[in-house]
Amino acid sequence: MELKEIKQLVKMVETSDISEVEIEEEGRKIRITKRFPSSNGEVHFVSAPQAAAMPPVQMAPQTMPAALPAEPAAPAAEAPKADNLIEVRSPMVGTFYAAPSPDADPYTSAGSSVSVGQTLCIIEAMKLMNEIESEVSGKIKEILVQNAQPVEYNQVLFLIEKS
Amino acid sequence: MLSCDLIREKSGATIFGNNVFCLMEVDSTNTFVLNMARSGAPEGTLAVADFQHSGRGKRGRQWFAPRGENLTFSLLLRPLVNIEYVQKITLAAAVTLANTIEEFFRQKGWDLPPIELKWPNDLLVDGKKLSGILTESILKDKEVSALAVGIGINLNTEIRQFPQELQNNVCSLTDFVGQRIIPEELLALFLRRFEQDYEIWERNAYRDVVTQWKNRCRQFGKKINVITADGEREALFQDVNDDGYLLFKTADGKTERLISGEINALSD
Repeated sequence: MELKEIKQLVKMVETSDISEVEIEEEGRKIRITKRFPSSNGEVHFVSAPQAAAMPPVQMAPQTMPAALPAEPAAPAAEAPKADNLIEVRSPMVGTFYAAPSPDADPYTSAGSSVSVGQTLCIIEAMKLMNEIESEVSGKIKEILVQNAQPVEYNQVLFLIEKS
Repeated sequence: MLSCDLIREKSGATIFGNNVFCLMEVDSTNTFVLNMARSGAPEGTLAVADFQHSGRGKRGRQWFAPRGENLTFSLLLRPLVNIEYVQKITLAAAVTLANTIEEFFRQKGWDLPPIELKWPNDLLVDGKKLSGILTESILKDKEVSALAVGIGINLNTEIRQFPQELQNNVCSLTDFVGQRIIPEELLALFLRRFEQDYEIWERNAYRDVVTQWKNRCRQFGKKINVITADGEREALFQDVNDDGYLLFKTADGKTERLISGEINALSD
């Protein structure tokens, strides 16, 4: 199995619901385990005993941080006044589009319910259209930008009331 | 319809070109591969369509592609680096595509004038559009969970078959050689080159992309029309910065950057 294919496997595990995969091929065994399935999909490599003769997969530490010690929970929300109010910020500089194309309906609107994974908007830069997905379920409290407006990195786009 | 077997056989690529879908008709190959991505499709998944009934250019603009005559496809990527770097893939794909087409012509012993790039990623020959690229991604904060590079190349449509109003602005590869080009062969070479280049970009965080892109641009210092949501204005093409943004000089001498929008050449 080539390095590239292993990288592919790692990515597949990262982006899937699979928490562990084990493959044996030509005397080498590779196991990819996702340590925190519910977090950012961090994975680590275990080089199986059968593979002792082979160097362990070298790219592992570089691409995948070793499993982290259990981190304390994220600090409590800084704004106690509205700890169920989530700010959706722009991950990049670009242009905000509320709809997939000029004549289509907007992805969402103030007062609408949204679920995890639902597309909220597009941020475009250099003919790269980026669908921004909601990471929470809830209700759109406010949309703070206009369609076709330029946005800066980290600018707040939506306020969502988390359900 | 294109032959998936032929693409696989010719490409010899490890990742790109194994999971291939050859489609008669689809709404858009980008939408198709992004939907596949949502169901867990691996990086390198490729969709090629004879006909896209909602094939898009920028912001919903239609892409003219008669059934089966042009090459339209999308490649699914799952980049590991963050969007601030990955966004330059939109320039990088144009560089690799231009290199591939020129290499393909060299291999065949055919002549082709040099391919130039128009910001951000149109391929031009003699100032006429040969290919367009539209990239779409799904973001979870700054992480890219899936990205589709959608490419359309005027391959076997002769220019006289294009609508009259487009004929002065477009060109097609078949017209340079006077014969039909086998789409699978060109696509397979692209997959091989893209796989090599992509691995380098991901490793060095897309560092050299802008330099390579600039080597293929002939618009520096030229008069351009800058078109944005606010309207059109004349300017001078100055540079492309490290992020891939266009820098232009306005009529009152100020330098501004263009991140979204397009430019057209103006005669001096």
